Amino acid sequence: MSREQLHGLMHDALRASDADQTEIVTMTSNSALTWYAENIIHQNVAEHTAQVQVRAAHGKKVGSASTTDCSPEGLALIVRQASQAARLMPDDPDFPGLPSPKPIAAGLIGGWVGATAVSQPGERVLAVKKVIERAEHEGLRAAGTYQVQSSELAVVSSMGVAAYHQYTVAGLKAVVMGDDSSGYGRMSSADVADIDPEAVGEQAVRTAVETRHPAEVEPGAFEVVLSPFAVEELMGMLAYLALSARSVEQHTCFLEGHESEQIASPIVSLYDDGLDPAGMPIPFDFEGMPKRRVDFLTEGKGGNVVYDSYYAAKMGRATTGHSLQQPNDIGPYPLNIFMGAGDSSEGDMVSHVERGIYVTRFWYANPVEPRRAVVTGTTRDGTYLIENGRKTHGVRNLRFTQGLVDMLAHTVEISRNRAVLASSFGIGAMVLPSIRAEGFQFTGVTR
Amino acid sequence: MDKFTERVIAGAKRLGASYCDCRLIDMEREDVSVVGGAPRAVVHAHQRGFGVRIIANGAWGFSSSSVVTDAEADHIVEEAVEIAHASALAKKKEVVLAPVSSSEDMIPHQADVDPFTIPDSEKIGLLAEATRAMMLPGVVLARGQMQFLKERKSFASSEGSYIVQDRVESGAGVSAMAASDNSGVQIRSYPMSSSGDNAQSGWEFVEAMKLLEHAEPTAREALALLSAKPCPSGVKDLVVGGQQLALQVHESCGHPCELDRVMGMEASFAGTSFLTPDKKGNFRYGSDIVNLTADPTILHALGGLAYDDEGVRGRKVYLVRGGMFEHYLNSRASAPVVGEEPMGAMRADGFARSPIVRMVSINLEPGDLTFDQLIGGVDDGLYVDGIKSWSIDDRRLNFQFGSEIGWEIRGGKLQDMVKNPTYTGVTYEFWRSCDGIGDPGLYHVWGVDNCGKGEPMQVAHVSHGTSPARFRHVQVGVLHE
Repeated sequence: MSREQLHGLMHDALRASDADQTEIVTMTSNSALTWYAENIIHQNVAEHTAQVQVRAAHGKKVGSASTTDCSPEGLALIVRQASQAARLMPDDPDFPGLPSPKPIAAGLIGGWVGATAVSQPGERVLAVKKVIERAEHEGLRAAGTYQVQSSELAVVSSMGVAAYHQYTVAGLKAVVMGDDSSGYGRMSSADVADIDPEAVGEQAVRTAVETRHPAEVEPGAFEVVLSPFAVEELMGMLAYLALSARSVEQHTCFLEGHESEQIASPIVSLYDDGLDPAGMPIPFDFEGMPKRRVDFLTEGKGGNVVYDSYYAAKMGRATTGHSLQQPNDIGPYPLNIFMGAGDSSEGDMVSHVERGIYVTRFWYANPVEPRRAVVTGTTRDGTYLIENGRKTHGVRNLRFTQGLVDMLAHTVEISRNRAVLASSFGIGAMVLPSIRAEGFQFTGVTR
Repeated sequence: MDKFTERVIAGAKRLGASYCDCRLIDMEREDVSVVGGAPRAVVHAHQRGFGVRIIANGAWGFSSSSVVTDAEADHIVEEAVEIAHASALAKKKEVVLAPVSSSEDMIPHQADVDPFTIPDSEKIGLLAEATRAMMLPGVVLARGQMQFLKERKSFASSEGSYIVQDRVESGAGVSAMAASDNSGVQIRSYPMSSSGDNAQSGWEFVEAMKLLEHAEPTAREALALLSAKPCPSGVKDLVVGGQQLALQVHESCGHPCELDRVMGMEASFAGTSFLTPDKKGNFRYGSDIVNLTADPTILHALGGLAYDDEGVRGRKVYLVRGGMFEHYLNSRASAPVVGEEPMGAMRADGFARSPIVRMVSINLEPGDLTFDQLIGGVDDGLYVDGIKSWSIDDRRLNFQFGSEIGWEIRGGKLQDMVKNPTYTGVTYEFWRSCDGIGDPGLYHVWGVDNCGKGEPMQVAHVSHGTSPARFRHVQVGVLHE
């Protein structure tokens, strides 16, 4: 559907609403995924979906409804249902009203590549075959996914908000396994032409080969070099625990009360920027509010968190354009996290470690003590022992239990290259470097 | 067969598919969330769409759409066939499905009172009253939520099956978060963390929870945890409450028994499994008293089903019997590989996703000990319950779990409360150390509505029947600095 068609449908439905205020959010998605494992394709799927969410308010009474029916009749029905639901609701004293429109940088940031939207299943299969053949050449087994997605996000409201953005995502992932080792490769971009299956396969195969016959190391505190994939798992956990206004409300935000204080290493800057074309930009949020850059840590000093209109009103701040679909119980969320680039390389970092651990990925991280952002999880798909500045051999996967703020305080080196890692939510991406940190706590070893 | 699914099946056959199934799903959801007495979110959602799974040229293709028209049916069938032919470009062997008899059936839901007939105001009112009762001094956040689902799913296959299943689910829970400058943040939940407890029942299930009665005692436990002593660290005997044990069963038995995971199909996301086929029938998973079942036939269980999304009738199997690993959760394509019959565990998240092997109701069969006998058998140990944190490695071996609350056990008696209890271990060593399981009076089937698996991610509604159980020589209180 074009912007004009979609907005036309939504505005027609908006005009029919009898609520004081009405907001309509539509997200359409055409996505396809080729899923392979054990060197064969075992699922190959496509889905064509639309979701329309309506929020209607009568004074402080707010009702909402959603549907997958994107027809004029479907939209008209869902607007009526949301309005009826609102009438039956008790007042929500914290509801600030729907936000008023603000200028949006739409059209300037890109994010849509036509070739990705029209790519064919056969193209995905041929790319996957390249990964499989590279793995087979080494006697290894490849697994992974190749996904392409084209989506539209449109928001209109009776306050005058009218926002539209379309974007594409392509992502290839490979886990390559041997008898006692595995490796990982991944690449994502808005442009399917950027996806290089040979490079993804090579990265995964090389790691699986190099970490064969892993040794066991005793748990303890180690200097670590973390790949961008490993940093992604930890920053995802930090976003969940501590980077939003909801985390302030829940008292799990390490930034609370520490604005401008030196919390992390002076080389660490962490921020969310939905407009930076280096990532996967989205110019506005699910309330149609423009994205603003939010600095969580600037050269290690404490900064701000992200807000939607609800939390902004409740806490006396302005929305930063980080609303998810409303209403929700998750709160505002940073979907475009960046860590500032350093001036090093992964090779340099490893060369600076006398004895330490290189981590390709972390897995199944979960909070142990939310307030201090203490998280546990395990390593996965390529864990190396570093000795005298070299990755010498693979080690068995280790369990870590580590405070993330503490890790950022003990970060001593950051790479200049950063990886773009598309979000599993289907919108947004993280842009992250490799880091070297001291005193990382490993608390167990796997069999 | 209805006209729509009939058109899909006929179209697939016309295009040369050797197999086709179609699921047409109409689903309503309602989610209610209240914070500190005020409504935070009330969402009514309606989804309608269909998914078409095809085997053509010996390979799989799947497509789905939220537009339910004849023209879209034709388009989706064509796309699924096209995808199957693309899959065949990398085919190494033909997809073979285990034979099953075709079925024609109509399965009613299990609810007494349709929760969608209860006004939102009543749902919000109950949660508002409960969360207000939790707002004691020191409690910084009191949350309550309810979630309801009503679904009609029509399944048709080119083998002649046509099954219509109705399903109603209800769930609710409340939680209190207490905080102080010196003691951090503590949380207690009732009846269970996350979305509470869930079942294939109606409004009567929510009423039976008696949320209001439990609200204030739950908040008082959160406050008490602020001043509780830290969890001791060391190797101790551990009694795990039924709620926490549901998580243990889920992570360390349910997931590793999924045959698609065992065969490597989940390797790129959730990982593989230590329960490889060579262990089937000869691997000691747990002690003699450990019996773990996959049972989709338990009335009202959230993981229950009459037929799975391949049209296979659900039946009970023993995953572990007498401590020995016996059976997998499987599908029509995977079961023959390990010499099993399909048992009804292929499930999809809505119409848009293709089915994968999922848990149904995975249960630890009850033992014969009272709670006092379980505790009485411990000289120096810990009792923990309330799911707080979970992490397990990609082969489902090394786990570390955190509970909301714990108590020290000394001389066979519960003693002081402890905060932030954690325990860690290796799956089969942990289950082999089990020497006591609570009796049927302590048994409860917990409904879990957030089990994630697959790519793209699918969320399944599963359940776990558990009683508290006792484990010897477990590492507790994991130190991290």
